[in-house]
Amino acid sequence: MQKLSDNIVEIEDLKVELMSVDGIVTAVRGVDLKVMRGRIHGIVGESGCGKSVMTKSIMRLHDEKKTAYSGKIFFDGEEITGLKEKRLRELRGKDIAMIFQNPMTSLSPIMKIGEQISEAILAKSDISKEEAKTKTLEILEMVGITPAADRYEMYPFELSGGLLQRVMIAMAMVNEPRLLIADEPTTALDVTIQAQILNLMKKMQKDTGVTIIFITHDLGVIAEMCDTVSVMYAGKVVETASVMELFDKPAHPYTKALLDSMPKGSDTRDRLTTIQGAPPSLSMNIKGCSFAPRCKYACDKCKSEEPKMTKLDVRHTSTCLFAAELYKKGEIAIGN
Amino acid sequence: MATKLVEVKHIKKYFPVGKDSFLHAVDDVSFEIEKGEIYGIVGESGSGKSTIGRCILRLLEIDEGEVFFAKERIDDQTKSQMAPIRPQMQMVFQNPLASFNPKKYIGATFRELGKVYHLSKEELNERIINLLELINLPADVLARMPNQLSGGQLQRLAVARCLLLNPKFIVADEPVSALDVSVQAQILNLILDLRDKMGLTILFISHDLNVVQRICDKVAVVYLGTIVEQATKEELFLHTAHPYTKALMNVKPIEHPSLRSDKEVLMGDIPSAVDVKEGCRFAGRCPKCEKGLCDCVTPPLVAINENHFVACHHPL
Repeated sequence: MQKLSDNIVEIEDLKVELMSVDGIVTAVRGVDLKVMRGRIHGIVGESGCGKSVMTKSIMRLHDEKKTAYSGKIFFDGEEITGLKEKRLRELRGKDIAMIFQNPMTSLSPIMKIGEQISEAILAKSDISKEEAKTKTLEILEMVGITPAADRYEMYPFELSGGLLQRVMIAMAMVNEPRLLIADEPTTALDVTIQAQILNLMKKMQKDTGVTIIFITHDLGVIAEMCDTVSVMYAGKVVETASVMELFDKPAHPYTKALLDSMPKGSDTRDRLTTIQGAPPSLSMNIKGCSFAPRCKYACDKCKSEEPKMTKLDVRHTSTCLFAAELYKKGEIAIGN
Repeated sequence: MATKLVEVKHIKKYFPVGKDSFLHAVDDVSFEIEKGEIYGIVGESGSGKSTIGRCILRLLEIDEGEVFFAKERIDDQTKSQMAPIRPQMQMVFQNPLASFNPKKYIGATFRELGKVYHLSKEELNERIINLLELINLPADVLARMPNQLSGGQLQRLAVARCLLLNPKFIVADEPVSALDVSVQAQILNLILDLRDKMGLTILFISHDLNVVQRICDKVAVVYLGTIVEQATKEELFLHTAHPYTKALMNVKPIEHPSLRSDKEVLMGDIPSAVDVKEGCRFAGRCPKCEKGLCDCVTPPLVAINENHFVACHHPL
């Protein structure tokens, strides 16, 4: 057996095309990404930037008939893109688990929550029903759903959104996955409940060492949770850095603009900083840098030349022609 | 001396649930909004913040209490008495796509409004042109269908639409919650413009303390249908007095990873607002709850100073 590498997930030049009623949407347009083992890796971007499509591809959850992949995805050395359905089924729910934004739609409304978790255990291991129940009660206790024995018997409609998200986390973690993909897990929740869920996820990560890919549109959540962050725009990863570096020395104009437009309570300026325009449609070809039409630094070169990934530090990359300048000076001299 | 534009006195709105049970959506809420200010209402889902906004506009009828608009009592007026008042108070909703007719061109939606209020064609066109300039959109959006526009563009059009009849007062109910950060800022700036350039008065309903702190002049924090704390923005954020407000501040999304800390996180869920009993509504989750007092006696909203009110037996 080969030695485990530092990266649990490696994505190389991934492109994902989805067939939709309006034609072909190239939702992911050449993503390169490495996710380090045992870390919380945040993926941040606005709606329609391809963050969910990209991460769902790691589990190959798209309708295969309507999806075309190119590029490679490695999960612990195994190439996902070429795997047979049988092997994928083994991985899903066992080695790679996922939680979604809306727990109510991820659970069966007509089955007790305890039974749903037990079912997830029984699908992946050869233990008796009684053992599965014991294991379920343990995990319910662990995620703070108490008294576990009573809650085991409850149906989803009897629980609040926050508790249901705990059920989802329990179900995802019960088979001790190596990778947990969390797609906007707190977006539908109130702030006080969001804080509880984030704390729980941090605790579970510490206790089990699981790697988490955390998808969100909220930079506040990124600041709170993640070790490493990748920023996505128009189907591409435009910048990857440690969370501190990203907030202190953003090296892509989009990242910088996003950080500037965060409403900060302490901010006393007259007006908020905005990003003009809207992201491009992903059903069209994009020439040059996809952010150029909205970028205040953009020059002619940006509109014609597709920027390559620039390495700024060991773990800091940016796809901007002027990344190095922005990284060093915090600004780009207009008119280069 | 600033003048009051909106005044709400002891309003109550109970929704019947099942037999003999009531959901106390708004329970004895009073506040005043001065002309030209942005008044924020912040609270979690189910706190009654949207219901308060709707009650003021009479999109919902209150069960008890009084609502005054420009010194005139409006909660007991008839439909025809309300007619001239309605255009003066408008609303912007959370989901812009849901607040436009999906089968009508944007222009038609605007023209319909002009027709209802008997604006002449010239006047209507002039107003539309001015408004499009204000929201910074080209005139060809009028020939588009709602689904052809982005959420940010539609929300700006929703703001423009509610300005068409020259209102004095706008209720903005979570106007940026459905939008991405980069467009959120555009809408927030527009709302600030409405206050600063047009002198409008705005009730801004939100769950996001960062946004509220950024744009509001005064803030009321609501929990389960009651105001637990109300103050000018500076007072509220500098001298937080209610444990619930404090709890909200603790979980406010941080601005930078260096601000991570092990702040106390509020436990439990928001309880049900059905048939609420006497006592402080926050008692069950409050770290400072005193048994026998907080869970039995409802604390009144009292002044700490002239700009700061709190409903708590043990304010911080």
